[in-house]
Amino acid sequence: MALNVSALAKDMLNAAKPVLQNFWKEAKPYVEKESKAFVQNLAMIAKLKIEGKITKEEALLHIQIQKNSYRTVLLAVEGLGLIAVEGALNAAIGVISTTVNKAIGWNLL
Amino acid sequence: MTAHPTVKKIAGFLLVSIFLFTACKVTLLSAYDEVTDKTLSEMQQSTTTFFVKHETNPGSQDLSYTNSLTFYEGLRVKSRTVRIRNNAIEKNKIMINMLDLLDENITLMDSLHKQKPNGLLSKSDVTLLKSAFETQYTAMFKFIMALKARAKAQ
Repeated sequence: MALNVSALAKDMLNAAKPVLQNFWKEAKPYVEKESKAFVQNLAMIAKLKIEGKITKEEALLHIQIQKNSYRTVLLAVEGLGLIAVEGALNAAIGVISTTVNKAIGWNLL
Repeated sequence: MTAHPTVKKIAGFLLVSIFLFTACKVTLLSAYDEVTDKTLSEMQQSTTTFFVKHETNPGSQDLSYTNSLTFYEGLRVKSRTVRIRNNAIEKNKIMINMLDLLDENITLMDSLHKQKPNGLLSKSDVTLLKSAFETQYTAMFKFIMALKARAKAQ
C-alpha cells in the first residue's frame, strides 16, 4: 500500500496545530501583562531619577534588574514554546506512525 | 526481475529512517528536576520574607545592609549551588540562562543596598525590587511547572 504523502502531511498539521495554537493563546496575555509591567517600572525609575530621589548609579542598577527580570519572562515563554513544539512534533509523529504501520504491514512501535 | 542495487539501498535507507523516525520521541528540553524546584521555592520564600519585612517595618535598622548580609549570602549560596547542579543536566540552556539572570539580580540588589548612604532601601527601591523578583520567580516557576506537567504526561 503506497503512502499518501499529501494526506500524511495534512494529518501531521492537524495534529500539531491545536498544540501550538493553545500555547500562544496562553502565552500572549502573559507576555502582554509583563511587558506592560516592565514599561511601568522603567517609567517609575525615570521619574525617581528626574525628581532626584535616586542617583544615576542607582537608576542604572534598577534598570538592569528590571531588564534581567523581563529577559527571564521571555526565556520562560521560549521554554514553554519549545515544550509546545516538542508536543506538536510528537503528536504529528504519532499520527504518521499509525498510518505508516498500516501501510508497511508491520508494527514499528 | 530484481531491483537495482542502488534502488535497494535507497529503499533500505528510507525504511530505516521511517523506523527511526517513527520509533523515536522528540525531546527538545531537559526533564523536570525536583531539587531545582525545591531550591528555587526556598529562595523565593526567603526573598519574599525580606520584602515583607521592609514593607511591614520600613526604616528599621534591622533592615540595614549590615544586618542583611546573612540574607544575601544565603541567597547567593543557594543560587550558585542550584546553578552547578543544572550545569550537569542536558538540554538545559533555558534554565541555566534563567539561573544566571537570577544570580545577577541578587548581586545587583546587594550592590544597590550596599551603596545606600544610610544602608537602608527606600520604599521605592523595595517596590521596584519586589516587582522584579516576583516576576522573575514566577517566570521560572511557570517553566518548571510546564516541565513537571510534561513529565507526568509522558
